[in-house]
Amino acid sequence: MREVISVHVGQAGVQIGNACWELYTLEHGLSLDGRVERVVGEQHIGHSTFFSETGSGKYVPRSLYVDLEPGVINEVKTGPMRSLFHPESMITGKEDAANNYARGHYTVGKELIDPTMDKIRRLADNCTGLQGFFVFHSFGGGTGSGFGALLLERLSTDYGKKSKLEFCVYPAPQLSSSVVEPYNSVLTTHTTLEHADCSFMVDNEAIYDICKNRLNVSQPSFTNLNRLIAQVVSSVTASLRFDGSLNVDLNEFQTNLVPFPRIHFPLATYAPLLSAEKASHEQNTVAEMTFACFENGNQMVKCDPKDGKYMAVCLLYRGDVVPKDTSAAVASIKTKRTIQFVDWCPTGFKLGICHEAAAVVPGGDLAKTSRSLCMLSNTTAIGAAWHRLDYKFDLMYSKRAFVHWYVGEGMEEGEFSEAREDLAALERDYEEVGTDSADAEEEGEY
Amino acid sequence: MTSLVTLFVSSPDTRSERRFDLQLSISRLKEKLELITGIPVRNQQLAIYNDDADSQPAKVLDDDQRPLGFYSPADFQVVDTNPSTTFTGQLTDLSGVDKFELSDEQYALRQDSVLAYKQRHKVGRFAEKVESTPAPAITVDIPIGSRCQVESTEPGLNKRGTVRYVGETNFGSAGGVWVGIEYDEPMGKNDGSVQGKRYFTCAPNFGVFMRPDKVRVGDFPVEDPFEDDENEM
Repeated sequence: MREVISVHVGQAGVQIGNACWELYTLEHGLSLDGRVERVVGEQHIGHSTFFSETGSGKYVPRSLYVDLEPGVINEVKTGPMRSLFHPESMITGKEDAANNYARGHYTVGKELIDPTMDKIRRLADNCTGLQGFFVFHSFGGGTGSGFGALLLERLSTDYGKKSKLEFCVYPAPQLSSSVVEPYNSVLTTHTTLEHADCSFMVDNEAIYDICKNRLNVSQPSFTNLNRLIAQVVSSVTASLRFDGSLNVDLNEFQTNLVPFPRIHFPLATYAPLLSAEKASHEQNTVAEMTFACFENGNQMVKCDPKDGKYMAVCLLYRGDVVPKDTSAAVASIKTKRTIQFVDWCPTGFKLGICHEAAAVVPGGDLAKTSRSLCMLSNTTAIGAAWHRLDYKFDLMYSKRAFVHWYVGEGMEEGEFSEAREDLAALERDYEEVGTDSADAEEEGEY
Repeated sequence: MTSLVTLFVSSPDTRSERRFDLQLSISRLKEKLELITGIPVRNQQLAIYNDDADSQPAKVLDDDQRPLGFYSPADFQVVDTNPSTTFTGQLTDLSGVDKFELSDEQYALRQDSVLAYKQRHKVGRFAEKVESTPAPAITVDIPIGSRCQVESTEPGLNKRGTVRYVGETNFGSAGGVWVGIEYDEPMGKNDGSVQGKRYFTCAPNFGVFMRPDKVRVGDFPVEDPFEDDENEM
């Protein structure tokens, strides 16, 4: 068996978890309490990656919800999915992290980390061939950033050889949801950089714009945003849950997408992004979807890949798709778009097809289509996201604004500068990755 | 049983969707909002506007003892009543802030960087050249300290300076001789060091390295860049 454990941390992690597990149950033909409603594929092979089966034939998510405050998880316990999750797979504390990395990582978080690792151990003991972990958290929140980082450190110590992948919510570039987001984001990125093997970032603003402009949601709420994020997560994990041909196990993500350990933040792009009323008028061919994935409006992080160079591109098709069409689409893209790869780690396009089409949740904004595409590309363009974040950090740190909130929780100022230097090095890494051998030759001066 | 309400909260520097307990007192709410908006409790005014264009709020949540539920709450704004004493409004404009960057030396010192990886594994610009024709050992007759001029693509602009280094370097994949120059004006690319190795010392952006054929040595005195301007006056 090739089991994967999903750990959802903080409000964003848990709420994205709700959206993901709702979608997974639909895709696997399960009811919201984990009973089989419809047989998918050959006798549920693949179910066992993400679900464990009880003696009575009920499927239980291999998941853990952790939040320092009880509110969000209490809602799950009383909500429509209350009987899906094992009650012991939800851990809450009493005191929230107050948007403060230091509270999530040190003072408040340390109370909850041991019970959390115990529960993870029990989940792991229940697996016959654990592949690794998906950790869901936000960069901006106190629990997401602080406790998320603490968890990844501990996973690295206790399960060093297992893959650790992240889905992280990156703060909106234009408008912060809290003033200290840049601090929390830089601190958590620094701490997790050496522990995570591959991190998929979704930027709140990119998701917001897609909901508003493409899916016609006038004031997108977290429910709208999280459903869209879940759709991307589902596509990324589809090959692990169903038969697929590419990225069929966790370490393959790393092999295919990460040429160098620190450069592990692939850009996710999704197509088609169609509202229900438009979908019936669109053909949505394989070629159209493929082209759409090279458009900025379909990206989960705001940046411009035309400014960058690619290290790797994985195209994960789902549904009614034949290999002939995918190769033709890629051949056509290569003639019509300038797609530059870095010259020192030769990888091209990698294509995968999972024949199980993506489901959509009832009342969701995205139209149900017979085929879809999620592109994962490692591009130097995503370096712009670090640039933005670092610059905002500098603006605040130059005034020492709110630093005392962190110092008050026992953090030392040195941790701020150490984290910031590491992120500066990450920016340099992205530049260095894009520096080709040829660039140096052409330049006549240094 | 707690009753939660989901609201959008905006302030000069933030906007977010938040969940609050209706039993929460306004004073406790304000404590939470300080950590979100950065506005100290004593400066906070919580105002509900019916319309974005309204100049007066429809409702102000001002009784600290009341629970949030008392006000039948809607999306609200956190106003800073005395921004001259706080950071409010100063957290968006990046102009005037120097972004922190690692210097070449600091970056070169890091062992876990992409640069170190490329050097260690001899890939990219550090790859060993396949053709093995050794670079001809050209003897370059450029004495250190000579005045020189570098050809420029911009007409009318002379790039003049003093020769500070002549010889082989660690940068550049082709090997051979480079000439290090300290320009008279900051038209260069470095401070005499490249990729973590120092060849000579000068002020940042005054230093440059060129191939010998691009450098003319001779009597090139320091030019006054504003000379022309004065003539016109």
